[in-house]
Amino acid sequence: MFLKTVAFILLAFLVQRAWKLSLGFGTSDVGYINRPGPCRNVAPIETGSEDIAVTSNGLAFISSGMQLSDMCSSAVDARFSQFVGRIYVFDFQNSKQDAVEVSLPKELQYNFSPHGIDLLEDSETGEILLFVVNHRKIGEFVEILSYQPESRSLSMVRSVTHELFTSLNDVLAIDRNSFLVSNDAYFRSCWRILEPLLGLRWCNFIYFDGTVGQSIIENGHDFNSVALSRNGKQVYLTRPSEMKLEIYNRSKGTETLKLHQSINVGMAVDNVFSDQSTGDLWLGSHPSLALLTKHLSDIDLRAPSQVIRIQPLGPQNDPFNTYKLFSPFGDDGELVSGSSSAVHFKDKLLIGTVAHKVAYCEVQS
Amino acid sequence: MLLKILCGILVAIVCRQILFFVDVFGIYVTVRTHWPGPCRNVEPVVTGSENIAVTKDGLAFITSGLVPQYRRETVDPRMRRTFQGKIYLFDFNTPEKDAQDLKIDREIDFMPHGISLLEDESTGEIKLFVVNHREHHDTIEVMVYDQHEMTLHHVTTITDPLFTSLNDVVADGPNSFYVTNDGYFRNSSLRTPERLLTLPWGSVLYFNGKSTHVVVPRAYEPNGIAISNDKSMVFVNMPFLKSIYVYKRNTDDSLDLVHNLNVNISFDNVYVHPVTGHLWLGALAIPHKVATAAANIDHIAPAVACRLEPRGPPTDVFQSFHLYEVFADSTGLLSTSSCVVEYNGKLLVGSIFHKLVYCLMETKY
Repeated sequence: MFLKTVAFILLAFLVQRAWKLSLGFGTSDVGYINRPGPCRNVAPIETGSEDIAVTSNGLAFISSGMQLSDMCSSAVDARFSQFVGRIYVFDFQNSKQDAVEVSLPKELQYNFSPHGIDLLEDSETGEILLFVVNHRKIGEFVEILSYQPESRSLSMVRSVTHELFTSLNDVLAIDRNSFLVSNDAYFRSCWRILEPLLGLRWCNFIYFDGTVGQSIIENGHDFNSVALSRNGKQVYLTRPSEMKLEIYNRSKGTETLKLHQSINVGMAVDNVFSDQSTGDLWLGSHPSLALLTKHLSDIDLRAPSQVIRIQPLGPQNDPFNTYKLFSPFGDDGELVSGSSSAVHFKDKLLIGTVAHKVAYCEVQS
Repeated sequence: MLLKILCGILVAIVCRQILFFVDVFGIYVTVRTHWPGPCRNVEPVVTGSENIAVTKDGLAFITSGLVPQYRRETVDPRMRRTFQGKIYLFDFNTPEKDAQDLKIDREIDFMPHGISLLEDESTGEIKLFVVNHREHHDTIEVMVYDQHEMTLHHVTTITDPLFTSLNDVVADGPNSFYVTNDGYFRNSSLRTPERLLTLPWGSVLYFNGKSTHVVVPRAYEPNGIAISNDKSMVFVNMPFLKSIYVYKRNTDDSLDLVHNLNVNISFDNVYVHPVTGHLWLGALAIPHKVATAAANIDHIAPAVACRLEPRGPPTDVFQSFHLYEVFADSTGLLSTSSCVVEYNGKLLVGSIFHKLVYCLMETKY
C-alpha cells in the first residue's frame, strides 16, 4: 500500500515534469521559413554569434565561439572544444562589409568563451565599454573591456568574478563598475541536466555594485537574458523553458526588482534586445528545444530559428500593458541554426545563433 | 481480472486520444503576425471564402456561405440565419475592385465547399467543379463561366451514394475528377464519435465521366485535394494528422501513397501553383480556436498561409521540402484561414466562414 502510494506520487511527479518540459521542447521536424525582406549570412562568422550589443551609431559587437564543452562535454559536439572565442564588430551603416574580428587583451587570448554581451557608451568621451560574460576554464567571469576603434582592439579594464556566479548567461551594464548578471543554472557540469528535469530552483539574478555582489532575485530555475527599458525603469528577463518574457519594475540605485508582468510568447525565448528608438523588444527564439539540443550534440544537424518582436502599445509608465506579437523572421536552420539573439537598427536585423552563423536582413514589411 | 485488463486498455485508449487531440487542437500554439506586404480585406466577402480556384489570367472563383456541417446545431445562429451559398469572382488584374457575387442561371439548393476549375485551351471555356452540400446529400455541380454576362451557367449535377461527406474536388479532365470524403457520417451526431475515435472512414473517390469508384478506401479526415501540373501526383491534406499525403497517380487513375509529409500544421486546402508547381496551403493554425469560432464568429482563430517547395532530386521531388510561412495574422484581419492562392506576386487568403484577404507580396517568397 505504501509502495503503491510512493509509486503513484513518483508517477504524478514525472508526468508533471514531462508535461511542463514538453511545451517548450517542441518536437516538430519543421521550421517555417519567413523573411522580412532579403536576408543573407555575414562573413566570416561560422562558430556562433550568441549575443549582440549595438551602439547608437549602429556598431554591433557580436560574441562568438562559445565553447559549450565546459558545460557537460559528453552531451555536446566534440568540435566545440576547438571553437575560438572572439568578438566581432559589424557596422549596420556599412552593411556590405564583412564582420571584423576585434583583437582581445593578452589575458583573454586562449581564455575566452564569451556568452552574453552588453555595452555602455560614454556620451561625452564616446568611449565604448563592453561587458562580456566569459566562461573561463577556472570559473565564471564578467570582463569589462574598452574598445579602441582605431586599432580595432579591446583592452582590459576589469575582470570580475564572484562566488555567486555559478553559470552565467547574460549581463546588463549599469555603469562603469556595476552590472546585473543572470545565472541560468546552478551546476556548470553535466549535473545541470537535473535542474530542469527535477524542477530545481537554484538560480539567482545578481547585482554587482562594483565591490559587492548580491542576489536580487532568488530561487529561479532558468534566468537567461536581461535587458533594460528605454527609461531605465523596467528590466526584462527571459525564461526560455516557460516561454516567457518577464518585466520587472526597477528601483534605480538599490537595484531592487519587482515582478510586474509576464508575457507568454509561445516559444522558448533566448536573448532579449530592447530597441532604444521604438521601445520594441526583439527576441531570438528556439521553435524546438529538442532540435536545438540535437544541433548542439551534432552541429551539422539543423535547428529551426525564429525572431519574435513585442511591440508595446500601453502608456509610458506601463508600455507593455497591451502589446502585439510579431514573427518577422523564421528559418528552418539552413540560413541560421539555433537563433539566440536578434537586434534591430533602422529597419535592419542582425540575427545571432548559439553555434552557427549570423544573418543580416532588411526589413521591408 | 479480465475486467481489470479491459479497464486498463480503455484508460490507455482514452489517454492516447486525449494526447492526440491536445496536440492536434493546437492548445499550446501561438500565432504571431507577419505580413509579406500590405494586406487588406476584400469587400464585400464576410460569409467565408473557403476555397479558391484561379484561371491562368488571374480570375479567381471563390466559394462562400459555408456553414460548418459538423454539429450544425452548435454553430453560431448568425451563420445559420444569414449565410447563403455563393460564388464570388475576384480579378487579380483589377484588385481595387470588389469581389463580385456571380449569379447562377439555375435555382439550386446551394452551399458550396471545395472548388476546382479547368480552362479549355482552344475555346477558352472556364469550367467549374464545385462541391455542394445540399440539404440531404452532397453533389458536384458543374458550371461554365459566361464571361460576357458574368454569370455561371449550370451544366449538370453529379452525385453518387459513395459521396458520404464531400470536402474538396480536383478536376483532371473535362468530365473527370477526384473528390475527398472527409468522413462517413455527414452531419449527424454520429460524426462526433467517428472523429474522436479517429476512425478512418473518409476516402478519396474518382469519377471517370460515367461512374464513381473508390481510389483510397480508408482515410482519417482527408480535406483539400489538388493535382500536380503534369497530373502525375495527387496531394491530399490530412489536417488531423498534420500531414500532407502525396500520391502517385497511375494510368488507371488509382493512387499509390508515396510520401507522408510531416508538416506539423493542419492544412485545410491546397493549391498547386500553375507555374512553379509549389503547394500553397491555408492552415487551421489553432484548430480548437476554429471550433470556438464556429460556435461564436466573434472569436478569432488566427490565420496562417504557407508555401511548400519540394527540394528532392528530380526523380522524387517531394522527398524533402522547405516550408515558407508566407502570411500569419492574429490581429483579426482574417479568422479561420483555409486556403491561399498566388498570382503575379499577389495573394488571396480565404477563410472557412470569415472574410477574404488580399496581399501584395513585397518580400519574395
